[in-house]
Amino acid sequence: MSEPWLNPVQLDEIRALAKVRPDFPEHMLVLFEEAATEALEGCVGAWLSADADQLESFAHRLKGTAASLGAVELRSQAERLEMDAGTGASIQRRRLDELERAIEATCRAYADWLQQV
Amino acid sequence: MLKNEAGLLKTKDCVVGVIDDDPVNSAMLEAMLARAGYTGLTFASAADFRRRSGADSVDMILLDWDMPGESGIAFLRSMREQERMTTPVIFVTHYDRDEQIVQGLNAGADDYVTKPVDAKILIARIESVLRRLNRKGGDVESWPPFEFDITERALRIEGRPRHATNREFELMLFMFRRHGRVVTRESLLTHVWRLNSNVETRSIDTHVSRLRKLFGLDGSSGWRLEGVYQKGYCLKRVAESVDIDR
Repeated sequence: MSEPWLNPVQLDEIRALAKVRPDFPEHMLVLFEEAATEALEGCVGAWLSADADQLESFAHRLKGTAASLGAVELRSQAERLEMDAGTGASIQRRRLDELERAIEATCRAYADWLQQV
Repeated sequence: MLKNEAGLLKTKDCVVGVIDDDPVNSAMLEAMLARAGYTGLTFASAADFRRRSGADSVDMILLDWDMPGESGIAFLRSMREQERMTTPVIFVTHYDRDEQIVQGLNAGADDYVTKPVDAKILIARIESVLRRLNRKGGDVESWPPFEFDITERALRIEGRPRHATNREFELMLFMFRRHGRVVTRESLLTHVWRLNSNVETRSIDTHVSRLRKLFGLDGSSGWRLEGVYQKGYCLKRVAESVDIDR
């Protein structure tokens, strides 16, 4: 269920850290949801104001957040957005909608994985 | 940074600062550090670190590169060139191109780890940096005219042996290793007295007062141990004190 949204290697890392802090996996979901949503809102704001630099910056932030959780597909989408914003390519609104769906799907996959931890 | 009687760093006494604006990554790093026996302190930005670093007295920094406001690389250059901070720094970043790694190391980083972070590699890199520091430091640490022989637990001032109790030795060494930075009473209680930081702190004030008189840390030795209102203490070279007072 967690494939292809989450990297199993990263999930193993989180599982290992739960041995020291049992609530760590749940805590990561809360942090991820907040940070990813905030970065996405930044992307949307930058897109609405046609600020490519800001869009690149928020996409980079989202990429980092995704990578920290091992959110493979989200990271990939955010990375493409960052690159396109950096090169000044035309970016359509649907790209941001796709990002939002990827965040939601990642959270669902992670929540499913949590049930098994 | 605290060392054991053989002069080697004691892992559990090492406080590692994590400067990263991404809370997910910060949480991961902090948990990895905790699992390896280190104390991790997180900072959301370079500005946050500057505001709190003296108080939290970190022994090593894990530094993100891309942060809002001051970037990691700008912060590191400033730390090394203007603030003369020698605290070891490991970059932990998504930037993984060769030229970026070279740039980070040339800016003064002691090592470089790319994200996503593998805990085993991160801890090995941290320990490698600490081993290098231990080798570099040797058995004697010197801030003229003070010399601390770590193995013998002996203090010399201007080359002459001076008696210091174990507590005085530990307290002075802790302050000298952090000179120019504010050290809180809580930090002294935890790291020198090895007590819970909630206990009464009057004993620290008494010891500090004694150090000033006995060892010339009132400025007469070239060093001044100053109280910092509502925070703790800061050991400064007299010239530093003058510069700051101006």
